[in-house]
Amino acid sequence: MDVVLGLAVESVRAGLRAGRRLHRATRPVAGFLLRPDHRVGQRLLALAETGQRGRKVALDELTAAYRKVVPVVAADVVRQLDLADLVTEVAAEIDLPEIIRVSTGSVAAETVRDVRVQSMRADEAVAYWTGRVLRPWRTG
Amino acid sequence: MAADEPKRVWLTPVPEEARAWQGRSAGLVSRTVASVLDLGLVLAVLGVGYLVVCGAVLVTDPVRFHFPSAPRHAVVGLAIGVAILYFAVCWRISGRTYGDRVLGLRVTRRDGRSLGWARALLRAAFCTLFPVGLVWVAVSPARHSIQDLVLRTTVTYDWSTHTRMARE
Repeated sequence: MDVVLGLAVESVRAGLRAGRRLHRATRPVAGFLLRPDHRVGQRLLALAETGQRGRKVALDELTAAYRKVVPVVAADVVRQLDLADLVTEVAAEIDLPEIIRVSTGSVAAETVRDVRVQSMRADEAVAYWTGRVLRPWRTG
Repeated sequence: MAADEPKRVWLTPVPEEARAWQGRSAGLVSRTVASVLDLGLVLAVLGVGYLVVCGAVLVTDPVRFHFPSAPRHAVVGLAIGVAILYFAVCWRISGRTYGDRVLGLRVTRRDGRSLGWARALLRAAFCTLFPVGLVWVAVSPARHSIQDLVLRTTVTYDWSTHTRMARE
């Protein structure tokens, strides 16, 4: 592991040294070519300006196209989405009515709920025992 | 459900532990408790009515005031009339009386539709004049009272607050 790290550090150092040497070697040539009063330099500057203008125009056109297309695409996506169904499914998944009921339920509501549940259980018990008495041949 | 049918999700205010019971026929205990509550309500209405009459008599002739009395058969007849009217109107309009509402019950036809005026009135009269018919709920496998068997009605658990039948 250390060998690999050492190799990586040496590689980076070598790259930096090579870059500095290349920069020193090409600096006189680049300075000569890019002088404003030099013909080649003027050509290069004009080319750069043309490129800059082209880039700006292309960027403006792209922005305009983007602003035209995105609302249409977004509207289409929203139209194809069944938001009502989606919301309903999410609300059912998290059991929103239960959360609301628990968080806002009053003592009276809880009492009524308990009475209902107890009555239903009593119904089941009555049905079970009358079934056992009246229909003993039935199992389950 | 067919594979190409869209999945339907029902939001319900019914608590989770009671959802499995919704739409099933109600048993003897729930229906009896609901009937007792309704009986209490009818008696309370009659008592309030009697007090209103007493107040009217007191206001019109305070000097010779005495609590008005009526023949027993007239009082019983009035109570039966009030009960029949109360049951019929409640079952026709919402499918549930006050007692049914407290116990989370609903009275419908066998196919789930609400009762018409004639059926509601007949059922109300039958239940008021022959309350013992309710006991048949304990015997009937489908939990039908005598009134349910004769008039082809049913009483189901329905904790929902809307007027439509609850779905599971």
